[in-house]
Parts: sequence; C-alpha cells; structure tokens
Amino acid sequence: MVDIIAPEIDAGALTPLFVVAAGALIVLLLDLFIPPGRRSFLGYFALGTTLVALATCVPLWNNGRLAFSDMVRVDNFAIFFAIVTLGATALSILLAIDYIQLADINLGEYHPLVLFTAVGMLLLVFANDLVLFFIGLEILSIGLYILAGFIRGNRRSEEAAIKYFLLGSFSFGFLVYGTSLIYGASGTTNFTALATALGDDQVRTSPLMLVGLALVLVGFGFKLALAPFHSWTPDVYSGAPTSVTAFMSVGTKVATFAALLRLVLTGVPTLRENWAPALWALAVVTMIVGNVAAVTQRNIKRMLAYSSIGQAGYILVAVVASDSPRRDTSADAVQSVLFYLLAYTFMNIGAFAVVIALARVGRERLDLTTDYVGVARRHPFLAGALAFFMLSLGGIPPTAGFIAKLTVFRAAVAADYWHLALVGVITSVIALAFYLRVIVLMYSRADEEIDDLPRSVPAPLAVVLAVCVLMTLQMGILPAFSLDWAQQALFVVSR
Amino acid sequence: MAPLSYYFILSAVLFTIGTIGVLIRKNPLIMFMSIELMLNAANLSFASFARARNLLSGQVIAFFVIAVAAAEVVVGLAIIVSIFRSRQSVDVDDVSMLKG
Repeated sequence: MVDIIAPEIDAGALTPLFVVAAGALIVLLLDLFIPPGRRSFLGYFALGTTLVALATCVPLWNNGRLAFSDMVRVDNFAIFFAIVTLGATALSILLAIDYIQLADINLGEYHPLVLFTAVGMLLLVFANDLVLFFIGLEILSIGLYILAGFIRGNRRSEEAAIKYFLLGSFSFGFLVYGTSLIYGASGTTNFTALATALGDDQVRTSPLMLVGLALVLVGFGFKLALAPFHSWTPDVYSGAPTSVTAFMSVGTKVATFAALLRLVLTGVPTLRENWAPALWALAVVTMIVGNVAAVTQRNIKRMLAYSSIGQAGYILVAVVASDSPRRDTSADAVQSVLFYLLAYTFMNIGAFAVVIALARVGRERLDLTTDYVGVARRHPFLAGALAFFMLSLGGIPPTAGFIAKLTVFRAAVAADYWHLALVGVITSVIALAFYLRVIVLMYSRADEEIDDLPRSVPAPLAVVLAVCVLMTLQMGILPAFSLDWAQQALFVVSR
Repeated sequence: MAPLSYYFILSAVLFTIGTIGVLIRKNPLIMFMSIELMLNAANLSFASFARARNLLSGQVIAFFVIAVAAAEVVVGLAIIVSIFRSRQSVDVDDVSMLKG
C-alpha cells in the first residue's frame, strides 16, 4: 500500500486569478436579478473585480514562489504580465459598457465571458508547465470564440466566430500533439524539469523533442497571429464586435508572449540553436507581411489587424534577441519585450477606443476613405487622440511606440541580429504610409459636411482615452519609470 | 501485446489524417471532426509514452485534453448551429463575406 501524500496547496499564489473567476461567477448570477435597463451596473461590477485583482497582485510583487507542485510560477515576471493583462481587461470592460448598448448586444453574458477570458490569460502568465499552459490558452480561446460571434444574427460576427474557432482549435491540435512529443522525449511537461532533462545530450538531440518543439511553436504562431499563420486575423478582427477586437488584440498577445518567453527562456534555453532561427524567420516574414498588407486596407479594423501583426513581428525580434548567450544582452532583450507589450497595450486599445467613440447606433465608421475624411473638424479631440495613437504605433517620438521600437532594435543590434533590426526599420518606414494616411484623411476637408457623427463621448470611453493618451505620452517622454519596472520583473527569467 | 512503437506510429498517422482533413474538407463539421482526431492522436501518444516510460502523468494529461476538447465541442457546435440558422448552409465557402 502506497501512502498518498496530498500535495500542498498554496492558494495565495493565485489570488488574482481566483478573484477574477469569482467575480465572473457573481456577475453571471447578478444578471438574473438586474433589470435589463440597468445592465451597465454589471460592467462596473466586472471593472471593480479586475481592480480588486490588480490590488491582490501588489503583495505578490517581490514575493515569488513556485506553487501547486511547481505547476505555477509566481515571480515578478508573471506579476508584471498579470498586471498588464488585468489593466487591458479593465480598459476593455470600460470600452464595452456603452458600445454593447450601441451594438444591441447588452446581454448579461458579455462581461462574465470577458472575465473568464482574463482567467485564461492569467493562467497562461502563471503557467510553469505545458499542460497548464494549454489549458489556460483554451480557457482564453473558448471565451473569445463566443465573444467574437457575440452579435447573434450578424453574418460578419458569425463568420468571425467560425473562422476563429476552426483555426484556433486547429492550432490547439498542433500544440497538444507537440506537447505529447516533448513529453515523450523528456518524460516531463514542466518547464523547470524540462530544462534539467535537456541537460542530457540524448534528449537534446532527439528528433521527438525537436519535432515537438516545432509543433508547439506552430501553435504559438497561430495564437500570436505571426505570418504565415495569420490568415484568420483580419477576418476575425473585422467581424468581431469592436470592443472584443480591442480586448483580444491586446490581451491574447500580452499573455501568449509571456508564455512564449517563459517556454524559450526557462524551458528550452539549451535548444536555442533550434528555436532562435525558426523565430528569426517568423519575425522577418511577420514584419514584412503585416506592414505591407496593411497599406492596401480600406477598413480601419482590418488595417489595425494587419498593424497588430506587424507589431507582433517587432516584439518577436526582441524575443529572438533574448537568445543571446551574454546575460545582460539577453536581459535587455526581455526587458524590451516587456516594455513594448506595455506600450502596445495602451496605444492599441486607445486606437480602438476612438473607433468605438465614432460609432453610432446601427452604424460604425469603419471605412477609411469615406468615414474618416474631415472628422477632425467635428471632433478635434478624438481626431487628435487617434492621430497620436497612429504616430505611436508608427514609432514617432515623443510617444511610447518610439521608445519601444528603439529599445527592441537596440537589443537586436546588441545581440548581433542587426539584419533583423534593419528589416524592422525598413518595415517601420513602410508602416508610416498607412498610419499617416489615417491622419491625413482626418485632417483633410470633407466634400460634404458629415452630420451623423455622435455628439459627445460617453464618460467611460473618455476615461479610457485619457488613460491611454497619458500613458502613451508618459512612456514616450519619461520611459525610465516603465523601463525600471520592466527591469525589476526580470530577475528570475535571466539565465 | 503489440509493441509500443505501433501505438506511436498509429498516433502519428491519426494526427496526419486529422491535419489533412482540416486542410482539404469544406464542411465545418467534418473539419471539426478532423480536429478531434488530432486531439485524440495526442491522447494516444500521451498514454503510450506514459506506458513506455512507466509514468502516470501522461494518462492524467490525456484526461485534461479530453475535458478541454469537450468544452470546445460545446462552443463549436453552438457556433455551427447559429450559422446554419441564419444561412441554411454551413459550407465554409459560403461563409466568406469577410475577404482575407
């Protein structure tokens, strides 16, 4: 008879996750008791939940530990990403409060689904095991499949849902099968144990291990919308409700990049001759495809979709640079990933916030060539904000996007990947074409006066815009604060 | 008992059939079945690697995959049904308003 020893459960390590999950369940229940006319209360409750979860992150800072039989790793790196994903969730909830009334999708399930998706993102961020990682990814994805198709009866939204669903589960198949091969080669799925097992030459050179890692990277490629696995992105981003697009373009990327860094730096650092060239190629293709395809887009949501593909390429450059054997170079590269994702969160959510602010009941202003001409005359502040976010996404000083690109390219050059930095600079110049085009259109004179613009900006949306503009500006003018914060989040990651 | 390598080969074959199925078929239901085939190939591979290495964890992981796949089925079928309601067809070629 073998004695079964119950594993020690350190639930405190995952407080933010539990808070969000409990909040989601409570919102789901509250929906039963709240009359339909007062549903926006649910949104504010969900927002409160994410703020409480943010507060519970604070005591975990500098208080890192492994928990749940090493399945979960709570360290400053994880907490940094937990704070960014929760911040993105809070901003997305604020974005949605008025938008879902406008789009007539103000159902009680919206906010719980957003919170459940946030639970999946947090699980990804804290995961120290491939199994927990793919469970987190599925919790996140299942929530987003539903949210993408949330406008029932709307064909575009349904199409977005089915495309996202089919390609998402396809990539999940690759991820799980790849995990099973890695398990077969090394006998473990735990990142820490994997690193130990890879000390053995036989494991390191085993074809099972390499094929498994390749399949897992394909799965990552789909989820991060890296070219050539990006084909679903523009359709899903443009068909989904705009508030959902904002949420998934930011939240998914932040959480999945966290997991990718965790995998390559703590799980398989010794295989860097294998993953670094693969990610190198993905980064080059992604930067080129994303930025070139965005130039021809007429729909602003499709343009922002391609732009987000291009941005993922730049972040990937820094991930590649983190393979440097020199410790401080590698740490600088990881720091630039963190800073870039933080900047990307604010500038991308901000851009979508303006698109939402210009929407009216039954009609969103999405067509760049007609809907955005002359907007600046009626809404100087909204146009100014969108122009500012476009400059930031394009990497023009004094914005967060400029500092982010600068740190990424500097890290790439320091790690002897100057050709990646070169491709990055060239594609950034191409990218200016479509970012600046939006600004030019907004400030050009309209042939006829547009009169169906909304008169005012609802308060929650104004808060989101203010936060995003201030943060983008602050990170652009005084980046030291955010860079220091990212620096402190590194200590466990660096080898 | 068949040698363990047969199981690995079978799981690789199942995974390949699943992948090809998703790529060439046009009906979302069949594509979805192919995806399930890929996941079950992974389950078989987890279970047989667990057996080969005399570990239990692989079998437990297979249970996790089954649970996740079940949740996916629920959402996936709901999406397919709602598409069928509004179009009376589920062929992926008909679902192409958004060009990409």
